[in-house]
Amino acid sequence: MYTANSQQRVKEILDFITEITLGNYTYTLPLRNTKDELEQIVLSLNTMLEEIDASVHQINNEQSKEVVENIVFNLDRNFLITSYSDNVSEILKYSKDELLNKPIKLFASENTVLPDQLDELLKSSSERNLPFKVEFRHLNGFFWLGHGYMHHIISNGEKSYTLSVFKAVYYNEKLKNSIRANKLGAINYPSEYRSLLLHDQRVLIRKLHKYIMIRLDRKLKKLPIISLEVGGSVSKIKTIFKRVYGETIYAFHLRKRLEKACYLLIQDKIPINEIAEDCGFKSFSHFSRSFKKEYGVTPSQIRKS
Amino acid sequence: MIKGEDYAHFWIDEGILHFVYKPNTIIDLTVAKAIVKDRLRFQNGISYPILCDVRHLKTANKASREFLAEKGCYSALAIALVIEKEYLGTLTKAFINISNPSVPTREFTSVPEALSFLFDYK
Repeated sequence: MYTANSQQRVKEILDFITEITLGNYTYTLPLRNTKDELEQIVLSLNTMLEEIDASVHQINNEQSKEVVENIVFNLDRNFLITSYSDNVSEILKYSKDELLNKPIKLFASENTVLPDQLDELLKSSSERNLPFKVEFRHLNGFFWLGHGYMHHIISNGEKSYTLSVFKAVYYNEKLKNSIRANKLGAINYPSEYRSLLLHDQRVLIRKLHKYIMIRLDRKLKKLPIISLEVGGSVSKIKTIFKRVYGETIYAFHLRKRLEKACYLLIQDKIPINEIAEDCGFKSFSHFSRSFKKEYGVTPSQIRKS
Repeated sequence: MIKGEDYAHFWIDEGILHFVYKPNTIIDLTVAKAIVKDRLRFQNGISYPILCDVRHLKTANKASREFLAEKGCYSALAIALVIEKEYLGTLTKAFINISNPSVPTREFTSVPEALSFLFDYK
């Protein structure tokens, strides 16, 4: 079973697990075109990592905030790296010698389509400003996926380019601090109470979310009835929901119903009154008013456009 | 432009919408949007129980899972996911338990089992 290939793959997987342990949730391990147990493990790890990222950073938006990671490469006319921003070595872990004067393509995955020719790059001024997906290879083979812009730099000297790549990540001060503390050798476990609370919160929020989402075709019942059906007191479900989603249960329910209506109006051909009914509005005028309040236009105007 | 048909085959048989992902499909948000759009147009306003065969699917990222659990369930009465016994367990479990699809959704390892679940929703 243990071929050189699979040994190499096991090493990649172990390195990847180490990164997760260290709290880096922004990479993915690329899948190979085989369908064996190791690839199943990689797929499961990638899925797990996305869910950990969501749980750690999004379950409580008071602690995490979305920030943008941006790495920049300056390239010469042949797309060789002439300089780069200082966070490149932090994110992709390459040294200066490994990066400078090397073609940028060496560090991108096969899925990344970098414009080869200047003509192609500047073919249309509208296309020029569109971002494209860029997958960079981390030193250990992981992928770091972002959206990039390629700019032609105007100067008196030789032609050059700048490739600027953005990725939205979550930044959590508390998590960073606890990781830093662990690095210094201090044992700093989260308190048992806190982790229980988080788990408890997560389960309750999922139940509430599901409760709401399967009821987009009707009016929600009163809070005491909801709290009985999902478990947890009225004040608890109100507070937790607002903390996670930033709005009340009823506002979220109405927004999701209107989002559904808007989506069906654009993508489907169902008559508008059927959509209104399907989204839990008993009267068409109520639907039309709520819709206009949210989107600034009436459902019929959306349909016509 | 990305077309949903490039990523999946779909047809209706005995009141059930069959939806089969093509081999090695990787779903991201753009692909998920295209798939749902094409499916809704194909259904022409009628809701169906959906048999979704993901045995050849390679992977689907978090953003697409969240999109499919919400907008991907519009005009669906129930969803049966057909998976291979040894594969995709984590992915489908994350989809069902975390992304919370808005219609009844279950996973099966065989098509007949999946169909018998969907018959109740016809």
